[in-house]
Amino acid sequence: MTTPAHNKPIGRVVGTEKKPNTAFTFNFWCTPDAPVGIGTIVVVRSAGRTVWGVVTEGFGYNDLEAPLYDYIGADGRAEAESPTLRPEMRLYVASVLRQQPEEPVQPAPIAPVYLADEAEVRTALRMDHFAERAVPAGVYCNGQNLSPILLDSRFLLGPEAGHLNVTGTSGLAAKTSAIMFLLQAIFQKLPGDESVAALLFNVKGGDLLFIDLPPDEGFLTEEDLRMYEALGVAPKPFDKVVYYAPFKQDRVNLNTLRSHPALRHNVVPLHWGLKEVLDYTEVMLNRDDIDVKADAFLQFIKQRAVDPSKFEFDEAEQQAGAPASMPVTNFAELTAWLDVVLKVAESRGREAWRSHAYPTIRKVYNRLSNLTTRYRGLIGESGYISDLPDQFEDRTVYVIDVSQLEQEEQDLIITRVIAELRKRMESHKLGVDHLIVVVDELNKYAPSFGRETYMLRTLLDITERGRYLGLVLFGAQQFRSQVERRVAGNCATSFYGRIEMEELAQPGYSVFGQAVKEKLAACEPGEVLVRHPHFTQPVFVRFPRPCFLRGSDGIRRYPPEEKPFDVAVWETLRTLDPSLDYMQVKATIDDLAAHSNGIDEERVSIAMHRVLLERPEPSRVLERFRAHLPKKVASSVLTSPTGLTGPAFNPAASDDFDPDDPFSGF
Amino acid sequence: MSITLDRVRRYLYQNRARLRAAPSPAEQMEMLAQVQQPSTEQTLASLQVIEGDIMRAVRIASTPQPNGLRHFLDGIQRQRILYYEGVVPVFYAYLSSVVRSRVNGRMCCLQIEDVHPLRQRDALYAPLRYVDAEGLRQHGIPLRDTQVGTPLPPHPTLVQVSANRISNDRELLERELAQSWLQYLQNTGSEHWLVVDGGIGEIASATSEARVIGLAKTSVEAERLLTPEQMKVVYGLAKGERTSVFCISRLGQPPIYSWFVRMHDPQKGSLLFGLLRVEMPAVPDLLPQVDALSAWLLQECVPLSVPDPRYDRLLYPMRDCEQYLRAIAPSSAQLEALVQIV
Repeated sequence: MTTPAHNKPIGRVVGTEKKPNTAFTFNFWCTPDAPVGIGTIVVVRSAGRTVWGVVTEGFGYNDLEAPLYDYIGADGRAEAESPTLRPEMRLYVASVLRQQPEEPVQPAPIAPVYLADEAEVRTALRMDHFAERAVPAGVYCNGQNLSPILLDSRFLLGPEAGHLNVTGTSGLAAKTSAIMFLLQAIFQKLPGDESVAALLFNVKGGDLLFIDLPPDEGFLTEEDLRMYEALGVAPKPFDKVVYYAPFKQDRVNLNTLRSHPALRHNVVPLHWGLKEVLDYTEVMLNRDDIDVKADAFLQFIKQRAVDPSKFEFDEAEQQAGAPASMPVTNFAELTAWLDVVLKVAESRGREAWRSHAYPTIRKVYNRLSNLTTRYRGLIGESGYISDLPDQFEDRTVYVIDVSQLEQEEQDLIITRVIAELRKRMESHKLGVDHLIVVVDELNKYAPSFGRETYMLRTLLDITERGRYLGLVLFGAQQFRSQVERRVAGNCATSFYGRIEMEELAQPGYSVFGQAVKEKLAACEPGEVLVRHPHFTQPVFVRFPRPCFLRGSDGIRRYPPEEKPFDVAVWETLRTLDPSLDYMQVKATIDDLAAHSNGIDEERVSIAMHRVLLERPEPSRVLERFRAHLPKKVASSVLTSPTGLTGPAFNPAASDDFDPDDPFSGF
Repeated sequence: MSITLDRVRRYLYQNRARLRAAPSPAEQMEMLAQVQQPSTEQTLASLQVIEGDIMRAVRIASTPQPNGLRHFLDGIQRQRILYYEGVVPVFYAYLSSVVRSRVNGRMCCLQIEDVHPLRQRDALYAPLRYVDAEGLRQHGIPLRDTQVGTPLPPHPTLVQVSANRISNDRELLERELAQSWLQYLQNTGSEHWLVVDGGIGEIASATSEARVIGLAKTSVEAERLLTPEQMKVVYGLAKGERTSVFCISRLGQPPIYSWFVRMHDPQKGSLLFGLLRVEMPAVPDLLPQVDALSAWLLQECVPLSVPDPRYDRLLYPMRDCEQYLRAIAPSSAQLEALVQIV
């Protein structure tokens, strides 16, 4: 048993017939000036037993039996002065955190109560059991003393238990800040023989777009720095961060606020093709689109055309005008294939084709061919893919910026990324021991009501089995009561920031006493209530501001800068050939513009994507880029042997001009 | 105090075969009420008005002086017949007395070197010649002999003698503490006053010039000496009025000054509602303090001592003393547990 640093008792345990102590709660009184409040950790020391507890309720008393007596005594005059002040006391209820000896389990003894010092806090929360694998979550403030609150990494990241759920009102430095600080702590404190990476979605402004940069001077207060020091965590930004963002509508510039030239080096396009998204038609198409028939045809497309990468028409279909086979590897090819299918069906009087009704095929055709327009910056026809890495790297954060996207694009990205991670999890291809995926607005992706969606099933699977397989969910939401119970329930560790009273009135919060609820309703920024498997009772914890450049400061310091079209093309191609000369790329684009009606950004971007898809040798990048651009048709004025002359041939001047067709314009 | 009770417990376990059970609390209460005789003895010899010629009602003016009533003394006793040895009742009594001081409006026990503000005693009370005194002493149990002679007096007398002895010891305890405290105040040159519960006759005899006042909640003796005109004045006091100061003398005690103060509006209660009698050492130099003392007492109307039924005359600091002493006294449950052994 350790000797408490606070040798002066601050109160005494009391037990009455009306309010007895139990093995799990005890009552003690304090003077009003004792530094005790809801969440304070105290220790009761008697000769044979030591009991640690956390204060969960408090009452204030004086010796008045009824308010009326005070009114009568003062003759109804509030200003009446009294030579004697009534004695005032505080009665607190504490929930037992731990007791020694642990057996037999007994009510707390009637004995003096002390404030717990750092060593006592460590013992009370059983943090002495997992010191070598501890991850600091924040500090417990005992006056000026800061005691680290540690989480057991095996219960946070697996395999014993896993996952974190954070609840809190938006904008009060609870959810994102808590998670980001915890990630910094995990990256720094997890034993070196365990690899870990994190994948985040930046859903709002520039919140997470500058996490590899130090914050503005003075951003971290002295209190923050004290907390960092107490926790043994270095106040520094993340060392390795890779940012992903889809393209803008021009399919050349990336759709992110992290577009300042000084910061583009670690921003990677996120761009998908047909195979990547076909599994997620449920997300991309609305419920009316996907009836049973359409779903069946989509499955047909996937299994018979896309997965084999080509489709072979039978003889009868060939007689109706279909080729023997067609490649189906990207949206352009899929559209062409659907054209043929429709043509075959039409040749048969619009009857069913391979048991799929003509209207169903037509509907699917309409919906799928529209996807590359609806998700223009994310899904391309060309088949160019830029996705998350095959293997995640240790101590690296992957940020996918979806903040500039429409809701449906965000949904598709988050759903597909989570599902992809699950697949990798199943096949043990994450590349790290622990991959932490952070999902905000969990109540949207795993709602407690409504139908069971693909995303919900995926999240359920991750929370149920992920801890064994290295995939850990850090979920956050404003309303925990609206999150599927199994998803939230599978999270072994929970943080609760400030929560509105309406939410606290939900049954899920009935485990907390009224005083704890009221404290939760008024939680300060940077403070959360932490539940963890080793803690018998939840404890209030303060955490410092995460050390990286805040989004608004980052945007001010590195204002977004959209690149000119040709520069964007050049920079993208430079990822294949770092020595690529800008002037050559510019000249190529200008040349195309000269013989077209201005710059055709669509065709340039397609050419660029095709080069990216091919990934040629660096020395051939420019050559391949030029090859994919529309051909320039040479023109000359022919002299008639009969002396007749006509206008100079200028196919580009024709409305029918197609730069891909050398015969257009004739 | 738990040491004595623990020793008594062991003694009772060892001797319970030959001891007889004590009465129930209700029986004991009835027994004590029966043996308690109304005082017919005239201990108060005379009452003489010394402020003016006749007793008058004086309106108490507020005083600019800060309230000088700083220290408050009270005592309690808790008694219980634990067992009978033959027909001899053996009482356990716990006596305590405390001075609570008002510091920044809060009542507390001052921690000073010379005088401890709390005095406690407990012992078994019995005529020792008729009980197993040697056995009790061997157990280290403190004893108080009620000193009855032979032949053995009847049972009511034994009860009464023990009860009186206990009360006397309690008064002695209070007196000792009061005198020590007053000595301490004199030594430190303090200008604050000690307020004691009840009369100050015994205390005044030892330290006649001390700054001490006694508060008598009941004044049967004094009231008996009032003339009809004086009675009219006393009972007719309005809230915030006092009577003229009068001097009363008790047999065998030095004279003391006294006056009545109406603390609360009598229309809210009986004739005696809020009627408090104050005693002060009969020192003429202290007479100019009467108005200030009365004004300070009126200030004590707030806070009320409710829910105590004597709240109209019980000053809140005095109630605080009682509450303090009751909180540290052995509980009824502890005593009843001992009684059950036999």
